[in-house]
Amino acid sequence: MRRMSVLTTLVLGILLLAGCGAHRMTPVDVRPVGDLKAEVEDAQGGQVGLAPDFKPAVYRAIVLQPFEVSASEIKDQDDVRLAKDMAAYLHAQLMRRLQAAGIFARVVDATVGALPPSDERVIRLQGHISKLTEGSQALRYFVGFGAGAAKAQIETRLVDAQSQRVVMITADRRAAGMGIFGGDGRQFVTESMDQMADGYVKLLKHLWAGGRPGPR
Amino acid sequence: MRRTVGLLLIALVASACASSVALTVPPVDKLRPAGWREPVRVALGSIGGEPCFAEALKGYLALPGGLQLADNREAPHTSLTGRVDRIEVHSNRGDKEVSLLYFSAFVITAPIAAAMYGAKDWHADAAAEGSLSAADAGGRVIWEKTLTVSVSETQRTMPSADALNAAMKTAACQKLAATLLNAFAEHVSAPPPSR
Repeated sequence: MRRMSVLTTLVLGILLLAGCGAHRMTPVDVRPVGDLKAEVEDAQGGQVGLAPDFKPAVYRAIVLQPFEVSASEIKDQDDVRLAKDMAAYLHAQLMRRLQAAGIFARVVDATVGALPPSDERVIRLQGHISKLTEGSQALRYFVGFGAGAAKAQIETRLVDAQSQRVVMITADRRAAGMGIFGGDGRQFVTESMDQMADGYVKLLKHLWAGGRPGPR
Repeated sequence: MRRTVGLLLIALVASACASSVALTVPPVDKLRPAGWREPVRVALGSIGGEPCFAEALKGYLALPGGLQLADNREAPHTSLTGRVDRIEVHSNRGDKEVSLLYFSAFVITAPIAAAMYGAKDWHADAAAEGSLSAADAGGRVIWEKTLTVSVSETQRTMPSADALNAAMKTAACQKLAATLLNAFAEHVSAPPPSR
């Protein structure tokens, strides 16, 4: 009997630990941009705010600008490194997914160069990582219940390149507090970035196909 | 008997690590500006930091079209210097290995652990931070850029830690070199700002 319960605990432990990771949370302290507020809950892109006259399909080119990490999230040299790494990581994930999605005829990486002038309508994707922490592995392992959780939140803006008007804003957030022996904070953060980049590009695909943000 | 089976499983996991890994992340394409009738020749000056960065710069310049490495007979358009300040590789490959070894130590859970963790992907990311600057024939800096790039990979294979680190470092160096040189090529081909 005792052997059976030990076995059950081990099997459950393996199943539980193998299945944990980052999960979506409600974004906090999201800043509105002009009249736009990220209030509509989208199934993939987090919270979204759209300009009433925004017509996505007219834009055939997108310029992806580098994201920055909010200064409030940087307290020491480790944070500086993490901020640089995660901004680059998110940029690479967005770039790869935008190119693969086939929404735009051209996807331009603003770290390499500017888009040459032309008649086509261009949209710029700007944003920042407003929350970023790897959390504490020790707290996750010994305390749990959300203590020491790794967290990441991104806030984005789509800007019409001609008028410089912001036509869409979004906010998305992930947290992860459970893993093998507390889990690796960096892995949680990169997983969060993967999920948010994936959700954002799926939202754009939905909008460019004529959909509206919301449940699907 | 149990101990023998456990030890055998551990030995199997430890010895199964491959000594090389083929990454699926595609290399950054070389920019070949449409307006260039002839390649622009550049010289490579001092390149600091990990040697893979200098090798990646040379590899990029050796590809046809766009920016090319000047040979001894011709005067270069510009001279490039730079350095890679930091390359960091992070992965959960080790976590996967440790979990597999840990749960394989219990004979009863060993097959479950082998099935679950054997079928679990590892994920790795590498960041490279560096800079490149271009100087004209008079030594005046005409362009410079500092950048951090990131590459990531997800696979189910079980490479050794050294193989994974080496492959990710090379990929990060290649991306940093190609992105910086593409940015310089874009700068050379851009029309001068109008007044």
